[in-house]
Amino acid sequence: MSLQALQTAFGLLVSGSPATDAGQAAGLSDEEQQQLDGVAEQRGLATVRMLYQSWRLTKVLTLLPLTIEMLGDQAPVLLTEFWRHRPARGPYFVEECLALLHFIDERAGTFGASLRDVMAFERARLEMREAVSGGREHVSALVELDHDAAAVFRAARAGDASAELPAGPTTLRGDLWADGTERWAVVGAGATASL
Amino acid sequence: LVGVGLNYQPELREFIASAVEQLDYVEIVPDIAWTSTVRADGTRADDDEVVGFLDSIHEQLPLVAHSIGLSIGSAHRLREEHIAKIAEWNDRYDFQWHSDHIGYNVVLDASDNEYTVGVPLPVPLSTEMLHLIANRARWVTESIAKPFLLENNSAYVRLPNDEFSEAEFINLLCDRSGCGVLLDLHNIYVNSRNGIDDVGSFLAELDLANVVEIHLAGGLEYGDTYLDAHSGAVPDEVWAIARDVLPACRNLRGVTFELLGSWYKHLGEPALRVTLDRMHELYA
Repeated sequence: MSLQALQTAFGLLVSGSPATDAGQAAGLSDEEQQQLDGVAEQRGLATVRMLYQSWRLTKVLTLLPLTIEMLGDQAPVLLTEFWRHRPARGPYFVEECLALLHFIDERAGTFGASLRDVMAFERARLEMREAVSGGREHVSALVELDHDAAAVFRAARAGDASAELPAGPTTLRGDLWADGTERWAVVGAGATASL
Repeated sequence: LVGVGLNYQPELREFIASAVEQLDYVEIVPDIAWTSTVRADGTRADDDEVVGFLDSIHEQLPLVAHSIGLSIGSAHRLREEHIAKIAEWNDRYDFQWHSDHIGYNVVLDASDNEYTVGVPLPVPLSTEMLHLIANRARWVTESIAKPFLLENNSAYVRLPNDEFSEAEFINLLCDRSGCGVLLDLHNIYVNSRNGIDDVGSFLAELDLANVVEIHLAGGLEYGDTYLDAHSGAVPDEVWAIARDVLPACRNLRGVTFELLGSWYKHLGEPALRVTLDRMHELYA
C-alpha cells in the first residue's frame, strides 16, 4: 500500500474529484481504491469538501473583494472552473489570487468594461502587499484605468459591472508602508486628490 | 506554568490587552503571523504588524505556539522549514510549549506538485503511519528544546480498516516519540456528535498522564453536521467532560479557549470573561 498515493487520491477527492477519477489519477491499487470508495460513501465527505471550498473562498473574498463583487453571478462559475484546474499551492493566497486575476483576464472580454479597471487596481494592491511582506519599508504603484476612477469604484461597490462609465483614462497612485498604512490618490494635471 | 489561556486573533487584541490579569498565557497560531514571502533559507517572512503586537503582549504574558502548518502525517516529506521557523520564533518568544495536529494538509497532486487542502485530514491509524509520525515527532522534540504536543483532530470521515483506535494510536505515539498530548475536548465532542467516535470510550482508553494542554471551544450546526467552528460559547456537555477529565490529567499545564475572531462580537466581552473565570474554576 502506498501511503503517498492514497493521500494524493484523498486530496483529489476532497477538492471535488469523484472517487474513481481520484483513484485512477493517483494510481491506486484495487485494495486502495476500495478504501477511497469507503471514504467517498461517508456523508462527512460533503462537510470536508465544504470546509475546503470555504477556506479557499474566504481568502479570495478577502483579497479580491471588488473583483468578486463585479463578477456577480459569474463569480461561482469562474471560481469553480479555476479551482478545478488549480489546487491551492499553499496556505497563503496572494499568488493564487494573482493567478485567478490572470485567469479572469483571459475571459474578460465577456464581462463589463469596468471589470478590467477593478482588476488592475486589486492586482496592484496584491503586488504591493507582496513587496512589503518581502521586507520593503514602503512601496508605491501607478495604475492606469480606462474610466473615471470614482465612477469605477461606485460601480464596483454596487456590483454593477454593466454601468455606463465616463471615459478616462485615470492614473491612480498607491502607497503602502510596512506598518499597514495604505493611501491611494488620483494623479492629475500636477495635482493629486485622495480617493 | 499552570493556568488559563486564550488564542490570539486580530479581533481579540484589545480584549487580550485588557484581560491580562485573567490570563496566564496567550496561544498563537504562528502561521497566521507569517507572510507568503519565502526567504532564502526557505522559511516564511514575518508579518511585522502581528509581530509588533505579540512583542508587546509577550512583555506581560508567556506565549505558547499552536501551529497548523507542520502536516506531520504527509507521506511525501516532513516540512523541516516549518520547524526551522518555529525554532526561530521560540528563540524570540521562549514558548512554554508548542503543538500541531495529528494529521496532514499538504499533499502531492498527480503530477507530484505539492499543494494544501486547508483542512487537516485524518491519517490512517496504522503501524506504518505510527512509525512515520513517531519518528518525526521525536525529531521535532530533539530540534526544539520545549515540550512538543500533538492534538487529536475533529474528523468528519474516517479511513476504513484502521489497525488502532485513535486513543490507542495517540498513546503509542507518545510512548515512542516523547511528545505530549494537546487534548481538544471540543474535537472529541464533535466526533461523537457526528458518529465518528465516542467520547466515553476515547477518554477511557487515552492515557491522560500524557495530556499537557486542553482545548475548549464552541461549534455550530450545519445541516445534519456539527462543526468545530470555534464559533462561541463552550457547550455544557464539553464543560462536563472537562470537569470529569481534568483531575486525571496530572501533567496538565494549560487550558485554552479557542475563539475565531470574527465570532467575538457574537459572544461578547462579558461572556468571554465568564468563560475564562469558569476555566480557572476547573482547577479548583
